[in-house]
Amino acid sequence: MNSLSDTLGAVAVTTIILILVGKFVLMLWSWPTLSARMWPWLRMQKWWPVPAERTAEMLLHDQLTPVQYHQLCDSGYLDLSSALHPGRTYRIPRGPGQVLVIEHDRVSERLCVQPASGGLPEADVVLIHKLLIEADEDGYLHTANHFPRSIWH
Amino acid sequence: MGVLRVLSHRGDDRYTWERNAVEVGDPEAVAAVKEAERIFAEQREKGATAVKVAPGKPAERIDRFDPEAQEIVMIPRVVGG
Repeated sequence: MNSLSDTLGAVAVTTIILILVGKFVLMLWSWPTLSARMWPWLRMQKWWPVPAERTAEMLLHDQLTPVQYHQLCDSGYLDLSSALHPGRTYRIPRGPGQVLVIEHDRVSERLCVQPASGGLPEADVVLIHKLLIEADEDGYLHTANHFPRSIWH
Repeated sequence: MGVLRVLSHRGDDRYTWERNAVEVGDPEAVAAVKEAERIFAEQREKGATAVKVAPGKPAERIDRFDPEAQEIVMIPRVVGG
């Protein structure tokens, strides 16, 4: 009888510990600063099971300067200066979200632009924003849906 | 080496050609560059934007295939969300 209750007690304690450890890992995993670093690193590993994500991450890594890539991994977004509008910066998020237009340290509007066909890896979407803003800023702004500060602030 | 990359749900599809070999008329290289040019035109018809990229330079939009380019990226059509 004592042995059974000891076993049950050990199982209960182990289960509680596993749940707590799991919750802690999940909490760390969803912490933006950590996940912004962790996922890109994981995607670049040879064993990563989704080849498209690995290819896209490698391409993004190659297309950004080391400073830009570190910024993206550290903060979860990429800041890109406007070539047409002095003092304007586009803040491109990694993952879902709108591109922020920052003028003189203040978000002036949000832009929503997305690939017409879905299913592109996250890293490719970041690269698309970056390349289009650099190569065809006017066209990018013309395509985007604009959400001025007055709407959402 | 010239590279044409087509971004897609597979990551990107790469098509390469030897720029030096094209200049001297190597048949394989010429065929490769023609295939890249065909894909370029096909993607443009689908609404893709073509940009020329080179290390240390901002991306440059191009409307015609450039066999001299080091790297061309085809960006699939985008829409306002």
